[in-house]
Amino acid sequence: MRQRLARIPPKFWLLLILLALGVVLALFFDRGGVRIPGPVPEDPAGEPDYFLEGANLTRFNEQGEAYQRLQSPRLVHTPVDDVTRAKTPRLRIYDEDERVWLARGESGRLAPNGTQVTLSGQAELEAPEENWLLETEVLHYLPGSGHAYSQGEATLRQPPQHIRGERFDAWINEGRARLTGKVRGFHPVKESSS
Amino acid sequence: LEGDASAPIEISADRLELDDKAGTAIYTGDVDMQQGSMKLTGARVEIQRNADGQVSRVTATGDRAYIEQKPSPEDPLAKGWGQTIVYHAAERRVELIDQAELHRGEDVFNGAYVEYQLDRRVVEARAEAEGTQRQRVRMTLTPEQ
Repeated sequence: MRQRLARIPPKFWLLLILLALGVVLALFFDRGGVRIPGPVPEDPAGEPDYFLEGANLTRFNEQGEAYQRLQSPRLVHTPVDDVTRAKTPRLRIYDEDERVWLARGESGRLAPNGTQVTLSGQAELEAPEENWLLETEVLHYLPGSGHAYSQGEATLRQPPQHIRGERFDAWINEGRARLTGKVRGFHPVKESSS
Repeated sequence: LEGDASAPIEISADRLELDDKAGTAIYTGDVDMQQGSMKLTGARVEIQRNADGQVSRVTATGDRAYIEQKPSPEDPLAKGWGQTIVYHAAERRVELIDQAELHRGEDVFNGAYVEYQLDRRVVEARAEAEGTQRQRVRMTLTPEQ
């Protein structure tokens, strides 16, 4: 048995070691030990200075209370315009009465200093406590005034009713919403059983 | 008409204001509401809903608000006017308030307040109504030929 092993050429052992090393490294990389970053994202606004993956952003007011949370699988910040762009952002907003409002879209854009958030692509604003959901293409939100608005066609669903209009506004701290322009409301009625 | 009662209410207007805290939904600007054969128009229409989210009451105001409904295929339209019109959806009852006027076929009813049961076609007219001046009741009843 020992003569047979002795006759195997050293090159064979070297190859075996290299293969073993390759397998170990592959396993090591695969388990997330060392993540090779994705390609540097190209962005129409220019070269980003940083990007975050699996991001959770929370904004606090002067009293240290969280008033806005943003989740996104990928955030990209571009210094040229100081804008942060988000992929499939999920926004969670707390109004002054601590009611929760949820907003989402296919993409998001955070203006400098977070003064405005724009959600684009099947944008939605949801008021769970009021049981209404606003669907539109582009939704803007101004955290400073708690004003969310859409300048395009919007449909407000408050089951079983739904109402559409050409523009939508909501003032979340006042619990007020408005639709304007060719407003069409659909309100089911249940007959009295008497 | 049959089916009116369960038909959905469809409204067109220039604007809708929702106030979650007050629990109101107010349409303004050339408001036109339809439910089956019933039609209601006014400058302002407020919708109130019950706990299930169904429309329970519709209040229209205007100068004057107007309502019409076809009692049955053979009957002429019933028409009503008032500074305020309140439609109780579940009870199918309409209140015409202040400069109230109802035309039901050839019959005409005027007063401060006129109440009309849409399905039973019962009319009640009064000279007084809350928040309005006294307005004499006048009825013009046309005997059937």
